[in-house]
Amino acid sequence: MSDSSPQEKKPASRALLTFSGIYSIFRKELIQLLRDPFLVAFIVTLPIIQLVVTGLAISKDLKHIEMIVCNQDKKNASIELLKAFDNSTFFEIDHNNYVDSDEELNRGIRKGKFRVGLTIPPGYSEQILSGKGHTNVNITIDGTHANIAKTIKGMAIAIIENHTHEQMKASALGHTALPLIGLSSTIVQPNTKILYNPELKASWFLIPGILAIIMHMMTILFTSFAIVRERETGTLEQLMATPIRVADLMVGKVIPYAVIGFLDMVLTLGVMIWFFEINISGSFWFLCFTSIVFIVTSLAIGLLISTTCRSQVQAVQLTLGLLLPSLLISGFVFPLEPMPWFVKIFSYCLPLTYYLDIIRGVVIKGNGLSELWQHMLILTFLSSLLLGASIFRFKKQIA
Amino acid sequence: MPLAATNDMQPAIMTENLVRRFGENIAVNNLNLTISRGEIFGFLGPNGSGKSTTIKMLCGLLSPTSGQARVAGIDVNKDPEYIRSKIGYMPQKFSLYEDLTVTENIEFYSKLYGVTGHAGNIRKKEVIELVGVGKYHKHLGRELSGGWKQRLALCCALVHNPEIIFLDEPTASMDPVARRELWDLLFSLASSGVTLFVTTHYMDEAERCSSVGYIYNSRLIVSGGPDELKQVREVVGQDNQRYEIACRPLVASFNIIKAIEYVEDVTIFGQALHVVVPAHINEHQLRHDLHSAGIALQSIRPIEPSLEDVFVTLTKANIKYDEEMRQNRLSSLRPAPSGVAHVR
Ligand SMILES: Nc1ncnc2c1ncn2[C@@H]1O[C@H](COP(=O)(O)OP(=O)(O)OP(=O)(O)O)[C@@H](O)[C@H]1O
Ligand SMILES: [Mg+2]
Repeated sequence: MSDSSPQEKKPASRALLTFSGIYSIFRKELIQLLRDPFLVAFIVTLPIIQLVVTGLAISKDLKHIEMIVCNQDKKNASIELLKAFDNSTFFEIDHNNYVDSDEELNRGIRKGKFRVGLTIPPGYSEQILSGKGHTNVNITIDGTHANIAKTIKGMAIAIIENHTHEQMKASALGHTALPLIGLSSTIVQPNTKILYNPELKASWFLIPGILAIIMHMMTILFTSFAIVRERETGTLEQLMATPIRVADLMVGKVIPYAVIGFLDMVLTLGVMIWFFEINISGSFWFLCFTSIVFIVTSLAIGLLISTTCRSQVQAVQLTLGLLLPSLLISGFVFPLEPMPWFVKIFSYCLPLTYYLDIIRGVVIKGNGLSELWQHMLILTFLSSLLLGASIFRFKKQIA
Repeated sequence: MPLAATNDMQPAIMTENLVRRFGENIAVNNLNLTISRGEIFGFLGPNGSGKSTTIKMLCGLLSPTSGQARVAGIDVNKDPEYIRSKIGYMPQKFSLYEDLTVTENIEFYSKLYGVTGHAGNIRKKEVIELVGVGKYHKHLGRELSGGWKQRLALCCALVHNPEIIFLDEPTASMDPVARRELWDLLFSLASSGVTLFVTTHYMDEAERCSSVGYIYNSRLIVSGGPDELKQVREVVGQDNQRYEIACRPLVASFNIIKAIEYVEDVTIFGQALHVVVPAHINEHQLRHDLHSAGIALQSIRPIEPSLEDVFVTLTKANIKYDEEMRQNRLSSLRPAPSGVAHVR
């Protein structure tokens, strides 16, 4: 036992935070994280996987879109056109169930059984055979999912144009599928009609929003685990018996997750830019900067949750319980404007609401600090409020 | 460990009417304890009697519902941070990091306690040697056996040279040799001026403490030096005598003896029975009565009560008291039976 008087050991400073305190917690947390490579891989890859999967489900790689057909022509040329649609893997036609009228076709789409309908008018083959002028076909698209509708429209037009082109080329070379007509330069003109959402505005809306939500959820979850895990395993009890400051503990715990969260953010932004080919109209660095603030706010929410929960399962439940309603009222799916005022009050308490505005503003409209400084201010305010609240709550709990 | 003059006169631990409730339940009820510096205080009691709760309050991990507690001369409510730098705490359940190695755990805790630099390294080496965890330094916490986990926990609780150490069932999962070694270590710590507050379920450990307290159903029933406790009136009584009786078969004999009308109490202790009879029944008469009851007597001798006798007797008295309280709430003016004559 060495000689030491009680006075010597009294902590010299009463500062809220100390570097050594934060550093010891940070180092310990880092070692523990790295010792669990599965967790690290999980944290890093999960947001990317989620973004890709969700993004794909919404926009890319659409296949086997069921098409309802109203063939009022029923002659050779129209059958050729339907074959062209058949040959693409994108559309799928049920040849046994053609309908006879546009009303029936619209009904099929309204019921949600088909996303798209093709109407070939009477006299289509005649016009092709005549070899000149143009003829119309009508494409009717369900606009509920703006991205899907857009893709369908593009694909249908491309298939028709390609078909017209092939037909001309074949006729010119003489080995045509329509042997009787010789040369045909009839242009097939597709008319598209979008049902329910004619402007198709949501296209670039979704991916940045999904990114925001995924990062929000993951960050909250992993941070809330950070302290709940120590409580669950009992290590918090031993930790609390030491003179560590609560603020040091909180900050030291949060830093590794902030670093991971930010890395994740950059990776998912990369996925958004290169995989989904969404260009950021505004400044990439400004977006990174705002994302840091957003991540810190999410971390603070996670911390607050972890001061309340006894187990990791509870933390997951609470996180999801908070997150699902906030998806509905943050403007991710539904616009805020028509919401009743008492819902709006909650909406404007959510950090997600502000960050959705920020990321969409930067990505789509090219906004910068001059438009978004208020959002930034509020986010900063919310994160300090939440951090303070979790430190306060935590202090009370062990005393 | 020389103590600073200001705190020298203060007892290491002192509680006054300390109470902790969990909702309706009382975990610790009006606890009054005074533990001097350099003492090894053994805290005993059945499961759920409030031992761990008491320790957690003294370490500032739980706030008392009412009452006062002073540790190292300082009120636990006033300056818990300061107290934490003076005390070591070894929880009942292993509470170090299972995914850190032994060295990393020790490193982490020494940093938190500010044991750093050259002096810190010397101290760390010293403690590791003292506790003997050096050969496992590369093992992860989860790879250690129960006993070695306890030692690692002890190491982390000692690293900052605390004045007072709280050990919650430190020997619960230790083998006999390790238990002996740990107690040797505790004695050497105590002799250097460290105060030890140890909970245990082992009577032999209790006998080695300089003072013990027995808590039953949240109430401190008795406290004092082990020898003093054996003199408690309820246990010894002037008018009865305790005998150790060896006989076969044990359980059958137990039932027969219990039925003898003047026998006040029978308890099975290992391979023998402890029987309490009124003082006017001498050994000769008892021997005769046992024979005529058909018991194959091997040996009989008068004995002093052991610590276990003290606790068993007081627990029985308290169970009876609690039952009476339940049946007749009016008699609540009568105090609970206890040996609190010896509260120091
Ligand atoms: N966090 C808690 N919430 C509610 N009740 C609790 C809590 N901690 C302890 N208790 C109750 O307080 C009483 C005393 O518990 P404590 O852990 O102090 O017992 P103990 O003497 O240490 O027992 P053991 O010998 O089993 O370790 C028990 O009835 C227990 O159920
Ligand atoms: Mg206990």
